[in-house]
Amino acid sequence: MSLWSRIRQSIRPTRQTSDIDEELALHIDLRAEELEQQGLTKEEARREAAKMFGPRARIVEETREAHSLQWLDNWRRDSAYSIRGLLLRPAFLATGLATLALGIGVNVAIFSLLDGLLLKPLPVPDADRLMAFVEARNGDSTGGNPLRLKDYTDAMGSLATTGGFYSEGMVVRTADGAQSLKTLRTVGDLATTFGYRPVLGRLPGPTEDNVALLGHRYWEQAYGASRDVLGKTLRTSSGTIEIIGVMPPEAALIEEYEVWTPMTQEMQKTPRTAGFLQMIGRLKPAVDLARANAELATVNAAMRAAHPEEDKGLTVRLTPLQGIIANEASRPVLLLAGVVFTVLLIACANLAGLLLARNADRAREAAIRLAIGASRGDLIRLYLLESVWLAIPGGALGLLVGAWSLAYLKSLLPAELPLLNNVATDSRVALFSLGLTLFCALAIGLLPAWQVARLKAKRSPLRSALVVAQVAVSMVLLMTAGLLVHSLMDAKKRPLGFNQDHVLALQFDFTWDTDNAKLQQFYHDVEQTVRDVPGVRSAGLIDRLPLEGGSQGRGYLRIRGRNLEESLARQSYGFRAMTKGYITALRVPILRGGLPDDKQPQTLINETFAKKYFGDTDPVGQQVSYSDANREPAWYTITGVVANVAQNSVEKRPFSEVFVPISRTFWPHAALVVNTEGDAAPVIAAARRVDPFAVIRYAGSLESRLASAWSEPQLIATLLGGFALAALALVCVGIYGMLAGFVRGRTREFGIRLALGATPVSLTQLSLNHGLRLTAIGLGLGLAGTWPVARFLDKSPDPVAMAVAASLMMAAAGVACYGPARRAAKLDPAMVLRHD
Amino acid sequence: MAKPKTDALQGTLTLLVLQSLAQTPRHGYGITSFVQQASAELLHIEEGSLYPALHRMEEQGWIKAEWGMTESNRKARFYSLTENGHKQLEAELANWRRVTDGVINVLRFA
Repeated sequence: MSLWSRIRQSIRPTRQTSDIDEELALHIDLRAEELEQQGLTKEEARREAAKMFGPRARIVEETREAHSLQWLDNWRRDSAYSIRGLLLRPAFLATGLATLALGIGVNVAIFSLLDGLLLKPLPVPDADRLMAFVEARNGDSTGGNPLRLKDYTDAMGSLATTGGFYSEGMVVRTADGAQSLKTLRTVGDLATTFGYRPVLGRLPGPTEDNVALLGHRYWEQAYGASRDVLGKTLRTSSGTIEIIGVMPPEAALIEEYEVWTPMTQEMQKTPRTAGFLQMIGRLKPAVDLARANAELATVNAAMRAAHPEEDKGLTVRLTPLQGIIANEASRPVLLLAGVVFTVLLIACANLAGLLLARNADRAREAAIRLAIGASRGDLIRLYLLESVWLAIPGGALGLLVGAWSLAYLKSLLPAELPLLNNVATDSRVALFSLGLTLFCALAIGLLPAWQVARLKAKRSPLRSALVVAQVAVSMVLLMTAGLLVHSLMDAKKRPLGFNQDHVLALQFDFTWDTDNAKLQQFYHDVEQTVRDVPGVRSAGLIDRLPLEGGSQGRGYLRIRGRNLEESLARQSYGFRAMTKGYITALRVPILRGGLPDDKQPQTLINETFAKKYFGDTDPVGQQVSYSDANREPAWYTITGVVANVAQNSVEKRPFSEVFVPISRTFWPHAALVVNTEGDAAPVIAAARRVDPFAVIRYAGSLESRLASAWSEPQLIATLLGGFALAALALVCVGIYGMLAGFVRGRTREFGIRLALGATPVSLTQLSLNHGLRLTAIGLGLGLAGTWPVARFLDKSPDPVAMAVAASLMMAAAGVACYGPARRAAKLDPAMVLRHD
Repeated sequence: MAKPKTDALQGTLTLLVLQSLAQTPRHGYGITSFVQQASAELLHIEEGSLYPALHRMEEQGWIKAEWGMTESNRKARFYSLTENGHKQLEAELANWRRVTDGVINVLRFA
């Protein structure tokens, strides 16, 4: 008989019973017939046959038992007992369900995130064969280049297909102005390498560059999923692009793009030194990564020999694409996962504590069960089932809570986060919550069940140990949260180096194939026009706003008349393009000299840069070149030194940085900062009039624009702080329960003490001491646990955060202890002693 | 009708059932009739023990059961020996012979 039918039988014995009954009935009938033939009347024969057969119901039962699995029957009986027990204690049931639903829920939500971003294979066919080229120049990582990608593609036998891409905003003209579309610029067989096939139309040919495929969702939104879209055109500033197809919906799972279009032929010939491309390749079926990398190494060596100048110091290796994409999100997500799991452990410890408290009452019942023949295993199963039946509905609710919290969490995350579309409450998540549910059942029930089965319920140190562990773990959480909050506060207090009061920002986006002369004309016109708006005090352009991170990277420095040490010359520094109005509008302090001319080869350096390369000498008037090592120097004259301006929200040390006139660079993204005493509306209107088709990505106050720079650390600190406080609250509940149990367990002892002359205050003190001593032990352990966490976060343990966390914990523990301790003092010795 | 209730018989129930199914499939009543007749009315199987035993043996894979029709056209569960059942029968027979040989030897010396 198959296991399944055994289980079915054990759960639903009725059908089998009727079968057996039928079989036995035949037996009796046949016997009766025989007896009848021997001369009995029908009536007598039946009666005699039944009598000979014996107690039929019992025989049916015994026969049935031959089939059923004993353990499953026991399981069913014990489950019924446990469920009845839970229903009889609605307060415990409600507490347990709520705790587990929330605890499992947040874990499920964070796991969904972790799974979608880090664990699940990329949502493409044979994801494990998809590799990224990771290039480095002299050890520093660099972006890829279309010419090099072509070299790799032509020479590599291990790869089936390759492709490259970068993303940008493509401006298309619409009936009522212009719109910026999130565009993936491709080169090579990018879509094929990913494993995507268009749902409509075709992929571009190798030399086509003025064609595009639409992203699936954009196709639905903008074209109503019409098949007539083929042959239509997108109008851009530089001409028209023909729509030749539609990408499949799954292409949006890694990152969503509205348009996929090949790079212009010109971009594909960008000099080898420019690195801006992401390059991927798909391994041929029989090839492993090590072999492909061995081949790539020889290709790379040949390439360096063929281009000794441009590819100098260039190294490359293939590495799974998954790891590259996941890398960015991994640390905060892992941190959150650790935190929510810790909170769940604390919650489980609380529920275990509640069960332990009940063990005192259960000891008698357990003893009776043992006496009448139950084994310890039977008892453990019986009491463990209680937490199993608590955890199962808790886990089911948790899955719901998880789905809701995930939806909320996703709305908080930046929409452009890669793989966010891949995050979903799917079967993997359901399986995880099932596993977590069973884990919780064991975590809650095993210790209490084991304890009661050993009949050692009284005066056990287990509850105290649980409390110590809870305090320790939540201390680590509190301090981690404190660490993050404190460093965030520090970062916010740090001088930014500019004044953002009354400053507006307008961000413009152009494509990389924009003609630079037109671009410069627009930059010039928009700055002049806005300056003339009444109320505007100053205005200027910058390629990237402060706090928005990096800049146009530069990796080499020359100072005229000096031979810089190679290591010093190669240290990276920030490079920003601007007009001098930027410095004025943001009121960045000028420490020496003056501002550069917007047209001349002049430059500003910041304080850190000046100190680093010029020490105490006056840099004003010196000439520097920011060109790459393998290019001719382009000399800029230093006109002045400005104060450091914060580049991002998290940097710890001031960063050296230089500014050059935007007119001497090509950078199709820029922000106009406007210092005005008037409103934003006339400024924005004036800017729009300059070019109605220019895409303005953002227009509003600089302050609210820059607020988003804090959003990620703030989000993490808020979530973590919330979880840490939740943990603290849970721990207080745990301490309260433990101490209440402690006082209840000693009622008799306290009564005697009182009768012998102890004062109520001394009993309060005794109880309070017990609770606080345990808290202090946990606190000490928790402090020790902070170091590894701080190391994971790249922060040093923070004494302020520690002191705050420790005193918070002590205070909370004091409050939690006070209630039960007071109760100890209110005991009436006469009552207590008579009670027993 | 007297019902012999010796331990020896209890222990040999399996052997008797297996033996009675060795040649042909039978239903439960058929097994009791066969044993009764073959033993010249000396042995009588207690119904209360037979059915649990049959189902246990089915569970152990020695016999298998199928619903079929009796001669009088009534639905009945017919039991037959499986491959394992034949092996078990041989083992039980060998065991039985060893036990009876032993008992006879002892009786001879007594």
